[in-house]
Amino acid sequence: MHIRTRRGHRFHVPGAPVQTVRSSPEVRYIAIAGADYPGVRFSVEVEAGQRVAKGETVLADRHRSDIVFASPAAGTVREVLRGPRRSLSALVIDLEGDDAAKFEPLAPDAGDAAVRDLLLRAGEWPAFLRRPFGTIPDAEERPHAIFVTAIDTDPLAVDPSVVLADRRDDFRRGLAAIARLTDGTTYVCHGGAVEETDLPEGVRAVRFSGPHPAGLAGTHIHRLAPVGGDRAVWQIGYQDVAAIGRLVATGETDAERIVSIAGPGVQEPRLVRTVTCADIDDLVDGLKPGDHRVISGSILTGRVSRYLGRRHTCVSVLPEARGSAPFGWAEASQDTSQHGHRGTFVPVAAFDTVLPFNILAVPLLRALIVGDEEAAKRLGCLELLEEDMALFSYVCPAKIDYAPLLRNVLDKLAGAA
Amino acid sequence: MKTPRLPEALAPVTLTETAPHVRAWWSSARISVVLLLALAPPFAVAAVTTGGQMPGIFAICLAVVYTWQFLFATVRKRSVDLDGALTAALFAMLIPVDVPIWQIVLGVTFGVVIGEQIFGGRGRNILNPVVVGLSFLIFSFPTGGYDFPGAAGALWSIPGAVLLIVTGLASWRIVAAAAIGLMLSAALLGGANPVAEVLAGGFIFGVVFLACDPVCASATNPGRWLYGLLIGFLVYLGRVGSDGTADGLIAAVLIAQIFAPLADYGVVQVNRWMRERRRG
Repeated sequence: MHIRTRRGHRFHVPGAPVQTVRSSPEVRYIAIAGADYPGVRFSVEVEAGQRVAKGETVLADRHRSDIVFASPAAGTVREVLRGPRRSLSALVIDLEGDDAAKFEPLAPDAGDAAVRDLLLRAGEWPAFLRRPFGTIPDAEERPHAIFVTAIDTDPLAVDPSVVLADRRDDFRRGLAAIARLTDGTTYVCHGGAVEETDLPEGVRAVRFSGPHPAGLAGTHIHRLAPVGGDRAVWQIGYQDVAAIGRLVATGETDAERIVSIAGPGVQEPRLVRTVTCADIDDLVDGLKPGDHRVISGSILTGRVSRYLGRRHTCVSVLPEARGSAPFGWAEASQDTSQHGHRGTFVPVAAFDTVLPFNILAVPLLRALIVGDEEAAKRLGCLELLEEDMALFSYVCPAKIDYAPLLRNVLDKLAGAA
Repeated sequence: MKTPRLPEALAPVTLTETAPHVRAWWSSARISVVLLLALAPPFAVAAVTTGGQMPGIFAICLAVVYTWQFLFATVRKRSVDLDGALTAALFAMLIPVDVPIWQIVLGVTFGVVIGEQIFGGRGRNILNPVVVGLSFLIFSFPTGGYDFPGAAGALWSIPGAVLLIVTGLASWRIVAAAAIGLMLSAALLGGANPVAEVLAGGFIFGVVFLACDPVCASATNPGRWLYGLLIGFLVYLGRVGSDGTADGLIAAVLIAQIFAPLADYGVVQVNRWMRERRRG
C-alpha cells in the first residue's frame, strides 16, 4: 500500500546532511536525560563512582519497577543531576572499557512472554511509546497495533535507507520479535527504505510520501489504526527495531545510532556513527563562525541540550537571529527568529493546510488554548503527541506554542482515566 | 500603570525559546501590513473620486480607533498594533463623505468598543468591528448612501483580492462560496445575470475585506463553504428591491458572522461522528 499525503509543509533548510556515514567520533560522556521520559519518576539503581557495563540497569521506573533503563555503554557513573522536586535531570556516565551485560538470545520459536522479558530486562522496553498519551507502555499491555517508523521527513534528517542498507538482518529480526507483542498488525511505515516482500509474519509495510509530517507516526496511526476509546497502539523508531534485532540475536544491547549533524551552522553537514545519549560536544565540530543554537533533535521538535536525546537521530545547528534587522524580513526557517510577537490566536486558514488528519484544526487549537480537555478529546486530541503539534506552532501568526498546551490537556485526561 | 509593550514593527527581533526553533514568516503585524497593501489601490481610487475629503475622514477614523485601542491596551498591559489602521481605512472607505463628523466618531467608537475591545481586543471578538460600526450607523441614521467605493473601486480591489487569496490570508473557500451563492440565487430566484451580480456593487471588496476576516468567519473548511454560501444568498436577498448600495452586504456579513459559530458547531458534530464510526 502507498499512502500519499498532500497537507503539510516542505522545509528548505540549508545545510542538509550528505547521506553517507563519514566518521565515528570518540564519545567521552553520555547522559540519560529525564526529559526523554516525561512523566516518569525514576529510582536510581547505581551510585556515583560505580562501574557499569553496557546494557546494565542504571535507572528504573519508581511506579512500575519492571520497566528499567540501561546504560548505553560501559563506563563509570560520574554524577546524578537532580532537577526541580528531586526529579532526575540527567545521569552522567564517563565512558571507558567495553564490558557488556549478556542476556540469553531468543530462541527462534520464542513467544510473547520471552520477548517481553528480554526487552524489559535489557532496558529496550522504553523504546516503545504508547498512544494515547505518549507514555512508555505497561509491561503487560497488548497493543491494538505496533507502528515502526522507518521514514523521517523532519528537516535535516537521516535517510533511513542509508541506515537500513547495512542492517537488513537486524531490522528483520527486530520486526519478527516485536510483532509477537501484539495480536494485531505490526506496520512498517517507510518512504522506500524497506523491501515490502519477505517480511515476518504479522508485519505489513505501508509506504508514505508527501511533505512533513508524512513521516511522523501520528500521521501513520491516524491513517491506519486511529487510537481513542480504549484502543491503544505503540510506536517505535527504525533504529530501535534494528537494536532489538541485534539484542535478540546476540544477547547484547545495541545503543549504536546513525545521527545527522546538520543545519545552516555546520561546515560539513554529515552523518556520524555514535551511541544514544552521547555528549553533543564530542559529536559536533566544524561549526561556522557566529552565534549558534545546537539542538538535540530536529529544528521542529528538538531541545537545547548538551546530550543527545534518547529518541533523537539528529543534531541541528541553527544560527541565532540576534542582530538581524528590526522588522526581520529575512526568509523563515533559516535562523531562530520567531518572526513576531506572542499574541492573540487568529484562526488563519494556514492551520488547515499542515496536518493530514481528519481533525478540525482550529476548533482543536481553541480547545487546547482554553484547556478544555473534554472538548479537545471530542476533537481528537488523543491521537496526537507533541511532535504532531510542531507545524501548528510553526505556522501560527500569534506564535503560540501548542505542544505544552496539548501536554497539559493530555495529562488532565490521563489523570482522569 | 505600566506602559504598553512596543508594537512589533518597532521592537527588536524576538528569538524562539522552545521547539519549534524556527517559525513561519507570518505574524499578526505582518498580516496587517499585507492587508493594508491589498487595500491600497481601492483606497487610493476612493480618495480621488470623493474629491479629497476621504483622507480627512481617514484621519478622524484613525484617531478614534487608536484612542480606544490605546486606552484598552494600556489597561490590559498589551501593545497596539497595525490592525487598527486597517479598521480605520475600511471605515473611511465605507462611510459616505457627507456623514457628519459626530456620527463618524460615534459609529467608529461603537464598532471598535462594542464590536472588538469589550471582548478582549482583536482575535477575541465575534463580529468584525467595521461591520458592527457600519451596521450601527445604517440602522441609527438611515440616510442611505453607504456604498462601496464605486464601480471603478470595485475593480481596483481585484489585485488585492488576488494577493490575499494567493497568500492564504483570505480563504478562497469563502470567496468562491460567496460568489457561487450569489450566482445560484440570481440564476434560480430572479433570472438576473449571475456574473454581473458578482461584479456589481463592491461585492468582491466586501467579501474579501470584511467577510474573510478569519477571526469572525467560520474556522473549518466545510464551515467556510456554508458561511460563504449564506453571504451570497443574503446579498442577493438584500439586492432584491433595493437600490444596490452596500447596506445589504453589510447586513449579510453581519448575519453570516452571527451564524458562523453555528456552522462550525455542525461541522464539529459531523466530524466527531465520522471519526467515531471509523474507529469502530
